[in-house]
Amino acid sequence: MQKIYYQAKHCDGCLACEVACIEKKSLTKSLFMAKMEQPVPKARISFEKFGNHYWASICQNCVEAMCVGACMTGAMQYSETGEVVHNLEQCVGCWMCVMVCPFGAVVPLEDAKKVSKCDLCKDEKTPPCVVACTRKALCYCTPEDYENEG
Amino acid sequence: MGFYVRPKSLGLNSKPLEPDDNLRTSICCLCNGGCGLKVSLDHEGKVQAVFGDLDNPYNKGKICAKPMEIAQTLYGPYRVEYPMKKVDGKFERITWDEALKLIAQKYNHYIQESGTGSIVGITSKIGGSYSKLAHVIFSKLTGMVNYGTGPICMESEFNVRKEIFGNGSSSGPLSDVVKSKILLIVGNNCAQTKAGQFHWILEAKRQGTKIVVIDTRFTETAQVADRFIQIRPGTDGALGMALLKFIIENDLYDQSFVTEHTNGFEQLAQAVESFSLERAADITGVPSNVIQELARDLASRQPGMLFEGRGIVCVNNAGASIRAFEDLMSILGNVGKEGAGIISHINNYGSAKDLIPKKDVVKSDRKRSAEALYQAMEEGEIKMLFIAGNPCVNWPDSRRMTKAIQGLDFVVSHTLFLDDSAMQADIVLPATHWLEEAGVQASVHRVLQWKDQAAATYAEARSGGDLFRQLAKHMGLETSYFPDSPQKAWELERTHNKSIEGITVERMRKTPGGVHFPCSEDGQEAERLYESGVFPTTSGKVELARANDIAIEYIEVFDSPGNQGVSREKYPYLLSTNKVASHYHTICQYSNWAREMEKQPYVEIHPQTAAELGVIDGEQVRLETVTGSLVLSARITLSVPRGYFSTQPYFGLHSPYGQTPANSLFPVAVDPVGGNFANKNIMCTAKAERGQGQ
Repeated sequence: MQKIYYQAKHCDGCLACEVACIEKKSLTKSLFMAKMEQPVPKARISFEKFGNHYWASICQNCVEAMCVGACMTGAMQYSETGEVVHNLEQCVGCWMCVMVCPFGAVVPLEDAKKVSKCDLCKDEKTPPCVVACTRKALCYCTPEDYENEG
Repeated sequence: MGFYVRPKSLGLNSKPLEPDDNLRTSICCLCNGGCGLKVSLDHEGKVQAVFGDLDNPYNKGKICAKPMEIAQTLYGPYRVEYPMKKVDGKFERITWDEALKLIAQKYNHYIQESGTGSIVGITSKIGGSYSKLAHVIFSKLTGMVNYGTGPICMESEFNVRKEIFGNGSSSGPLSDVVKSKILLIVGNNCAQTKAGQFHWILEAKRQGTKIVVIDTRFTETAQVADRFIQIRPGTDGALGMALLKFIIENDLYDQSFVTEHTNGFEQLAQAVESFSLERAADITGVPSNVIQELARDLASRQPGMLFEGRGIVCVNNAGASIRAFEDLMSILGNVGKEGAGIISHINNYGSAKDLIPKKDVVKSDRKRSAEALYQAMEEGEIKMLFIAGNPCVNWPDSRRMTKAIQGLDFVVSHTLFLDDSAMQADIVLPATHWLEEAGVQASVHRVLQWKDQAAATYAEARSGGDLFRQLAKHMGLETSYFPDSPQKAWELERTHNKSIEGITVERMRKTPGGVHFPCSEDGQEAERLYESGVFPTTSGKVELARANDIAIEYIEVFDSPGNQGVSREKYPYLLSTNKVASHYHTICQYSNWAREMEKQPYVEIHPQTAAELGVIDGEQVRLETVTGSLVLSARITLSVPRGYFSTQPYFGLHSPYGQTPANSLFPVAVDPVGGNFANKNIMCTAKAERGQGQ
């Protein structure tokens, strides 16, 4: 299974990944049109600044995921390959996953009163946020590759 | 950066949890769902995190955000640490002894000068079973009249059900839904309000129970239902009556149950006579074939259950709607069977009898309805008020309530937080939280569960149980009637109340999920009520009609109390408050997590209504009713019908939200049948607010 890994030491907070995510999650698939959509699409990755450093909140596809345990409807589930997947149809917006996620990676969609999170953009070869990251702070690889390459 | 980071919720400076191998077990005392909790403490005994208890057979580890927020609210800046006295408008620290002495002196003074009726209590948050019992004993000894959660939450539901079945409690456990064939959810968004127990309903759905949701809003519950019926606000009664008429006319009801176990069937048939499918469709906006299909479904799918919510209880024509749906369940024979009955969070196991000898019982010299309380306070008839709750936010016409409280001679607030009501008090006393107090908690599954004290008592906080005993001592009353610990209190209650006689603390501790009540001395518990077919009404039967021989009287929402006589030209819309998952009463507003989820109160508006008003999403809207106006930010959504506004009732001025309470917009109007205040379906008008709000 491949995941998105974040290395704070390479990140300069340019937020290109966030923009790429918004574009991808928009209905029009266009960054300029995305801003005019109602509701405005939300990125599944977000940033917080700590002094001179940045820290990204993005789903880590935990092996023992708190969100899966907390979900009362079964909308948050493990896929066959081990990723944490979210089924929007089953979601009733209790936002318990938002409460328990230690990474703050589950994104509340206020207008729909549901949540969403990074789904690794399985329809793309590499997730757009990773492509957008020119400093290689985000990488899309297996845990083994991440361990080896640091 | 290697530690536990949750930038949004935990905050930049938050530390990882201290290791705690010994999680305390507790039961959530917020919504009467009765979810099992695990509480993690730090080295000082303070709550650092709350989780769901995987071993509790009812919630199975699921909880909602509300109990988790406790870890923040308990130790935040609004928590009251020590007793305080207001001197020249400012609070000064005093000792418990000074506070009690002063209250006792005032109390005795007002009893002598103005009679027992000059002192009242607004006590919706009095504490757990220990505090409740001490409060009962204190009230009996002093004649204090109390207004609890009833008028603002469930009075109508309780009274109407009591009239019908002889008991206001829920008749079956929620866990029975998996055995029922149809579940009718009316005006209840339980996916948000009973989130920890909602998995039962989804499990039932997986097993084939048809879930039907009747609501004005397309709620989260409605989204997962098999059938959602959107109804015009305040017209549920008409739908219920049309269902009754169709079922009666087509002989779809349980005839043997009706003949053997009910009274008043003729009157009921007569009362619903004029509610044809067409007329109901006209009133409710629900097409007649949908009503017909629902009626046939209810008749063919047996057993069925009913789960009503505040949507038909906290309204000004609640009496008719509740009675229509509960009578409907009765004539279908959905009572006293497995998988049948009425689910409710009302868990009345009766009150303890003969706790104190008759000679020491003092009866209040005046009784007033909740509605009349306002005037009595304004006219100076009431001198002293004891608050355990937050009436300045959650009672209707909150501004009037606040003003009335300001005008009183002496106000005591026993409270967790320095909230809007505590700010009006002369004496503020720090209360214990339910995690800091042992006691019994009821659940939506009709069980009683014991919880030990989980967290260390905060600062100088004392429970209501201790407060009332000590106050009685200072007042020179007999204190031997008061229990001095939660265990002793339960023992006393149990031995004076037949319906819980068999439920000892040990038994509750030993039984995961708790013990069903009523439970007689021999230990036989009753999972559901009325299985014997005997009802605790005077006739022993289900009373389908009211005592005045009229079964149901439908009142149109615009002719109901609070709306009666109000100009429809001036106030063309309807306003309701509705609940969200991360708030409860007014206590969760002190949590940062709750604020992360619900950044600010908003008003939900249908796009067409928004277009009429000329507002776009996020703009400020001024809502106005006969009692005042309030500015809220607009959220445009198709989940509410046209001409209907929905906002949240939780916020006060003395909180991080700093909001004028939404209840300020609701007039002091009660449902004429059940006696509940209305906090839904009140006529309002709205306009776009350009420039600064509030």
